[in-house]
Amino acid sequence: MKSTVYSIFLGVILAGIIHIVVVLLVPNYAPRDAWSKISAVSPGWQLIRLNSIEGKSDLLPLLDPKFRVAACRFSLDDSALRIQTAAKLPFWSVAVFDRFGKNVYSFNDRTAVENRLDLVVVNPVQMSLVRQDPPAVLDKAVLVEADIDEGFVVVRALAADDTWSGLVETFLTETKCERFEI
Amino acid sequence: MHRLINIVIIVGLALVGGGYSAWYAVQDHHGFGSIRIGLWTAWPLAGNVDADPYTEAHVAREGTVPLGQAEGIAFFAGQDEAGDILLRQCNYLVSGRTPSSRLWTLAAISPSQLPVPAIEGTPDGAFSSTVVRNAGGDFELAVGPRAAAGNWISTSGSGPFSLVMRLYDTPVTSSSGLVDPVMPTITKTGCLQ
Repeated sequence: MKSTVYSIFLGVILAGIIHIVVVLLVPNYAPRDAWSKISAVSPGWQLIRLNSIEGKSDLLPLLDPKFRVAACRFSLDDSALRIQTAAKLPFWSVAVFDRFGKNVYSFNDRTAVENRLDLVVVNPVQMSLVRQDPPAVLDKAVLVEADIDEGFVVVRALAADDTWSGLVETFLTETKCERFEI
Repeated sequence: MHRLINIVIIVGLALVGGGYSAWYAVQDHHGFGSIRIGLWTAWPLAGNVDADPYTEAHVAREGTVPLGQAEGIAFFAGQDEAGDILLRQCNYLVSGRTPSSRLWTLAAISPSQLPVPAIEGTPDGAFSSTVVRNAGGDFELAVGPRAAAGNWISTSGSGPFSLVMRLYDTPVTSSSGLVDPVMPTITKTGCLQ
């Protein structure tokens, strides 16, 4: 009897440990997380659409139907990332995520220089190079230092109704997601 | 024999208890790090580097890209004022005000987090700039299958759903905390038979 009580006690303790380990491991092994789904359709360095086009279902759940959303995968191993467009829009916002779907930086058109989307993401090594010799093109760009290897950028463009389509499509098609050599 | 039973108890409890409780905990959003205003709940740290492990695991499992702090915040409501779950075959009145923000959107989503289909050719969501308000700045917005004059989001089919109100560029997410903690009420006005 005594040993059964002891076994139950030990089982509960072990259950607690397994609970904690599983919860902590989920982000590393989630097969359907945002990174995996984006990777499945894009090799990187290109802006792909996350919301439905022509009746297909959204690539990711819980996107705002009043927005058109696009994402670009990148890696900071060889070069920095620059995402920019000359087109303007009444409202847009951008979020930089790491490989595990954690948001490392976000901003919207109000917090950008002249309301233009021009974002450069660098890792700490690239940042030290930028500090030594700042490239002139970075004058009007939002420069973000992120201590990550891989990640993705999500661009959300407001398209409240169909009359916005032209404007939003121009904005998204003219947005370039490119390597930026430092 | 006795020893074997004990081992079965230990391993069984550990695997089933630990595994199931972990699965349950990340299955849905729970209270961790949430803010509640009336019927509405938001998880401001979802997707954030400071998120707790449960919120982080939930986001990874769902594969969502939550709004960043400078983008906005999403509030979810699954019940009306009476405490009943929201049903697609029922009509509701969403009324009141929202915290200050540059713009907001309101949409209906299914339990599997897909958009609830609207009746063909009717509004499937609302956008702050096109919502009609009264003199005091409050709005009244009908949600449900019955066509309504003024602000209306139509729902079709039956079964539970949730409302998502997304506030963009709002001080609610800034470090100053809850500046303006008001959210609209949701009242049932009837159901289809």
